[in-house]
Amino acid sequence: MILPGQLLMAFIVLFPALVAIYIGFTEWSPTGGDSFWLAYKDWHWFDGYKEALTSHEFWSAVWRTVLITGVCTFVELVLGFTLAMLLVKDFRGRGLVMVYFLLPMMVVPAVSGFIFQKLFQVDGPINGMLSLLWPGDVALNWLSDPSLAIWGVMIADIWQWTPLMFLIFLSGLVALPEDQMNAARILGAGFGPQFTRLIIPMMRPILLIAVIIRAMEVFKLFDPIYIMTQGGPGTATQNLSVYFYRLTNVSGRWGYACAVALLVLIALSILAAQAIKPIERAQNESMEELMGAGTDEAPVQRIEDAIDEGARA
Amino acid sequence: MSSITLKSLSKHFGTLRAVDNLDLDVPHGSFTALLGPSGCGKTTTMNMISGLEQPTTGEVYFDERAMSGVETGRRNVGFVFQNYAIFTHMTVAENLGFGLQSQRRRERVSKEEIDRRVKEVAETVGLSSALDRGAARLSVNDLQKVALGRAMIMRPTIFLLDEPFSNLDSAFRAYMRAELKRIQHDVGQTMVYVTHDQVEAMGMADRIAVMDRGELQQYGSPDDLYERPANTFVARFIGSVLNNFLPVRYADGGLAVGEGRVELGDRRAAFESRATASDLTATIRPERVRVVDPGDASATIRAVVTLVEPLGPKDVVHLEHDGTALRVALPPSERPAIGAALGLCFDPDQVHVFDDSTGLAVR
Amino acid sequence: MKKTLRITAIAIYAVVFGFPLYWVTTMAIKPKAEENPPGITLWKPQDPTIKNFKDILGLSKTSDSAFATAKDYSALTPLKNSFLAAGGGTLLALAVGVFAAYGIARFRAGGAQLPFQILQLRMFPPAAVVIPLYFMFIYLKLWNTLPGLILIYGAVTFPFVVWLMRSFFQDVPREISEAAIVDGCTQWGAFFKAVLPQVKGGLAATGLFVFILNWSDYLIVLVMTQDKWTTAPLFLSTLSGGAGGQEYGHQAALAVLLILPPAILGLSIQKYLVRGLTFGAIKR
Repeated sequence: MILPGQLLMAFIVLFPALVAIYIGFTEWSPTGGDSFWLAYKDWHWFDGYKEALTSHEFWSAVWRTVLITGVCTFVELVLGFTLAMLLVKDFRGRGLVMVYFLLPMMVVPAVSGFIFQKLFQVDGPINGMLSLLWPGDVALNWLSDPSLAIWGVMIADIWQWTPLMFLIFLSGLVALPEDQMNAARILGAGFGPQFTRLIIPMMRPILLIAVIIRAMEVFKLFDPIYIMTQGGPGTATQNLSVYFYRLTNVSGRWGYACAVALLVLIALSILAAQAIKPIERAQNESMEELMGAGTDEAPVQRIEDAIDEGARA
Repeated sequence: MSSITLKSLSKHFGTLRAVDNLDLDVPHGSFTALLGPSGCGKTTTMNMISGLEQPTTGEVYFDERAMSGVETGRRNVGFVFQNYAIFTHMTVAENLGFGLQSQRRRERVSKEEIDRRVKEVAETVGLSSALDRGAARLSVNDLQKVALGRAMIMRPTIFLLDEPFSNLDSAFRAYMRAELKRIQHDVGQTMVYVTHDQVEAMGMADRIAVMDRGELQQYGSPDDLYERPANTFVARFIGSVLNNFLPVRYADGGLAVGEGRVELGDRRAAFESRATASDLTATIRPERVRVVDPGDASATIRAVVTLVEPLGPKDVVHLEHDGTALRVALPPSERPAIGAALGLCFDPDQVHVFDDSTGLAVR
Repeated sequence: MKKTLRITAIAIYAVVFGFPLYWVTTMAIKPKAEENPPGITLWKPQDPTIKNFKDILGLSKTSDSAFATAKDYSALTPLKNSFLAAGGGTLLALAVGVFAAYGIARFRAGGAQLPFQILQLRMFPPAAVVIPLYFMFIYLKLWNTLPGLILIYGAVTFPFVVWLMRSFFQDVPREISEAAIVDGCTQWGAFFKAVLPQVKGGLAATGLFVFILNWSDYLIVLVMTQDKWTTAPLFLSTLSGGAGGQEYGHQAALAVLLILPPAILGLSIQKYLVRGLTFGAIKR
């Protein structure tokens, strides 16, 4: 049953990995004219790996990727959660409002990159709106100023994916046991204690999953960045994905690119092993069990307890 | 301890009248039950007392003080939910101490004080050995104790319980009922207890408010409800064995019941002063019917046995008379055979009469 | 007081998150005269027109573009390519993924670690994976071909199908296939006749979801295609960065056309979005 799938995966993952390992030991490029299995002509052992590990450009790309991942995930989490809290109390037309907020997610990322590239122009609408709020004209060089460009890119991602966090959190919040919230109210807990001692702890599994999933995707971010800045100005917005692309299609260093790719892939595999656990757990259990509700069912533990009690009495 | 007064309390959801014009006086220190079938408005009334819901019209008073501006957390009400609503991601101790923790600044309670009171309350409800256990792994009976303790620790002036024992096994339920009644009596705590189980209400409460479809049917002691039902609903709802209902006619100072007659004596005045001559229904408790031989002259009517239910100390004998199903209680030693004819004797004092058009008792 | 604060906050969110879409739609329906500069923030098009749409689809007889004839501008072919590639990739992923998902859900095929491994795949940046694939495909003569694209799309979205369908299959009680077998079906028969109909909704949602993913691809076509099999997103960025870079109206029109299918499809599978985007971890 899974054989065709495994074949497909072998084709797309396994063979390329083997090829990459092979090419990674060489300094070969397709533009040299030879087909890839002749790459051994340019064999240079681990030079590629050594270069990568000492390359300033590589490590700054790594750093930039981590920065973008951290900032975007965090901002999206906060904004998304806030919006979810705002909409948790039902009202007429809430369904429509939710549909409205889903739209940014549905936009093709490349198109989002296109839109923001235009919006961030020096004479573009974003500067235009800022000019309304700021005395004088705002003429920020969003995409050509090295210190601003990375913010432009992050803003584009935040715009597109905050709605996802919002959606995830809203489904979680709406499922929270109302009785417990009422009990807290009666016991005198104001919004503060309700939030910190009830809502956040009960939402922990969802928060974790949302962060992991979003971080995984932001890490790989390519389309909007490449369209907005091509990784520039200079290398100001060059994250790992853009770095890979430029190594190959711009600099033509395919062999070296393979080495770098393998380094990154190995590091990610180790990370993946850690990150997968909460997702796996969630896939196998229901949200109710994770949140610990369900006092009307009697799990084995409770039956054992009752027997213990009976034995003691 | 406070008294609770409800004045013209109503809660409407659009056209649905969940609670309609409720007037109720719960004296302080008493144990009052709100009794009625599902949907009668008892839980909504509780929610208005606790502050979880706001009344559409009317007012809730604690000891003369109007509660309309007072938010839930400040009413000092203890509430036990039907499904306990225990905070499952916390330990037992954290659950018990939650109220005090949340109000620390306001109440000016120190951490040591909270610990002390948590231990104290755990002792009272019998959870001392479970204080550090995660609440998600407790048995249903223990959850019940946590729910009680969590409310008790706040020393509330009023205690509200929403069918708290319906999820317990019957042995434990009987035990908890006795425990609760004892605590309430010892402490003198004002308690309002919601239930749909009239046996429970009759056994525990000082006074019972019977509700149906948002309206108060009758408010009185268990005896009042049993002996002097105000309308047919109460007559039907109260009583472990279903009451007997017979169509009757008023005739010259007495009631014509089937082929027999019940003399009314002084009560005739109530019937004579009635403006309209609408149909009447009489009720008599199965336990209060005297069973005699069919040939006995004192028998009011004769009926035929259709079914006998042996219930231990007594039998419930089902009979049929002229199309109406009736029930009487007999000791097992006098168990009749199915198909046998029995004479049923109705004492005038035991007979209650209701007007069919209003359902109200004719007095 | 609290209520007005809440409404204001929601309104601010609404404006901020709606603005880019507002901008692109108004830009798409503006006639050429109103196009520049793009800096004007709020305006209603004086003279809304659908000419940009017609132009970009190559349906206009003449072009008022200074840069190209109407034919060169036409996004018709790229759009068609998008449909074909995305559609083909989706079908491939579904065909292979549904069986794998069932095997994993029911029989724990591949061992307990397999779902985890498949999830791991998702962490690898496509930009890295595509590097060796590039020259492999050149060697296999699959570069810049439709079958090649379909193959990659199918393989890349295959894990999604597996996760999603696995969670859907897990929702189907075992008793259903057991009952079918008792009635005389083979394992395969039980699968097709009893289980599959139960997950119809999930299957459709998964298909649409995967289609959206493939439709939105940019990196793969950037590396794996050129001119002939370019899909719409790549075509858009080529237009935008190329000689005709100032033709905002046309580009905006293409952008809108690109957004429409995912938007419509996404709305129809709203119910399953959370499940899909969290790889089946959260079921609403």
